[in-house]
Amino acid sequence: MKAEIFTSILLGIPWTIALTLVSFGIGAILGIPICAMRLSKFSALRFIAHLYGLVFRSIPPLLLVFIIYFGIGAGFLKIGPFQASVIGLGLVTAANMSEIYRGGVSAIHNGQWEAARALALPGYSRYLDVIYPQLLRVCLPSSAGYVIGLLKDSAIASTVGVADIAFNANQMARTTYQGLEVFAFAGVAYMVISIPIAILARIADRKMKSRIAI
Amino acid sequence: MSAIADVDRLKDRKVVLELSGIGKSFGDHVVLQDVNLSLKTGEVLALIGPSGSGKSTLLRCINFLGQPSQGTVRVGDVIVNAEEQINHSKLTDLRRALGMVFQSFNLFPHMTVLRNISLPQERVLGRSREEADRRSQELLRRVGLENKAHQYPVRCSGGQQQRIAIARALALDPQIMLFDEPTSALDPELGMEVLAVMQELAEGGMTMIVVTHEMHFAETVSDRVIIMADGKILEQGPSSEVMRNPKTERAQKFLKAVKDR
Repeated sequence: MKAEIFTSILLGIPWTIALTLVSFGIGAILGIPICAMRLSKFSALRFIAHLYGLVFRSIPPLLLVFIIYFGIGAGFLKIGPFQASVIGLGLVTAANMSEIYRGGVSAIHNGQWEAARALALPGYSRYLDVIYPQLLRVCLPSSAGYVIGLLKDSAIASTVGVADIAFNANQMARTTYQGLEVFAFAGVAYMVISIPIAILARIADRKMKSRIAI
Repeated sequence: MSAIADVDRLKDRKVVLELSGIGKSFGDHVVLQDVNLSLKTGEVLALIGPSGSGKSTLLRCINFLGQPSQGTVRVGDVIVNAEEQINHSKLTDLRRALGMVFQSFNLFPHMTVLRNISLPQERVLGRSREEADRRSQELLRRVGLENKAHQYPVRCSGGQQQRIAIARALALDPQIMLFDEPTSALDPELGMEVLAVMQELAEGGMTMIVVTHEMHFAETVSDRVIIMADGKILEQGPSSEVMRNPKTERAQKFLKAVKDR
């Protein structure tokens, strides 16, 4: 294989990682209020959260990124390809993370809330000290799975011109006519990133489980 | 200790808890009906009765973990009326005066034993970490678990977890301790060590309400027993009297059933 192909794909790796991390960051944070709305006692808020999930989980992420980049980005605001991609993927991630959080909340024993209230812990402490750390632990395995999925979905950004692994592989395949080699190598690059994530998540999970076991 | 002596012991004490007209219903289903109750400082009250009689529900109404539908709760000088808009700071004041121990312990699984006891002191009473830890260690010694301070709750037996939960509640210096079937999830041997801690607390002058199925505890440790049935107080009086000579037929039937086991 030519060194050219090798370096080109390596250069795409930071972009792929950045796309994944930034979209996940947006989604993980935005997912919290959406989950809270989903669990709210006000039906209007529940409805909005429900609608959000419905919309962003049924539109293909590719289409969403196109809407943001070509639709909004072209007409109203100036949005670059990277920004458009992370916004699009972030919005989808938020919908999915809110579901993961919701599952986590229901996995936490009701007695934990009761103990926190009976001890008269202030509201912020009930969430930050008592519930949130347990939620983190419960949601870790499914979040790690989601991050790996997101890593692969981030290839969508190549369609609007972010120079990630998939984009560079595509360029190389066109210029060198060595499609099989190029795309196989790109596949290996994705694997090399996702395997450590899976291993780290498993180690962290086992470590927490042995200590606290909810 | 005779019933007469019990009454004497509490004669000049002031009333620290007053429940008036407490009722609770879920839709048409009435769980509690017009319960009135007062408790003096240092008094130990056992709440017994068949399951579904409303004793746990009543206990949870006292600290508003379960919101009563009617009535008022007074603890010290904090008064909360269930029918009025409940204000948060008042609710916090009420809960600060009440310590609660649950059937399922409800320790925080992600914190060490020491953190479980110290964190609420820091957050609720504003104690420093050092001060809180000192108090926690002292309480752990009192419940015989000083060597467990740096373990996680999952490494402790049920009986130990419950003693830790008692220490956690005591650390906030409550005026009254509420126990919701504290030994029901434990096998008899582990239950004994929890009961021993509770007896010591009672002898130390703590005001306590204990929902329990432990008839021996009700008879020997508590000053007063209330038998509940169908969401109402069926019978009450000095422990030995109620336990040995219940007046109503329903109470006789219940006590016979639990004693003959």
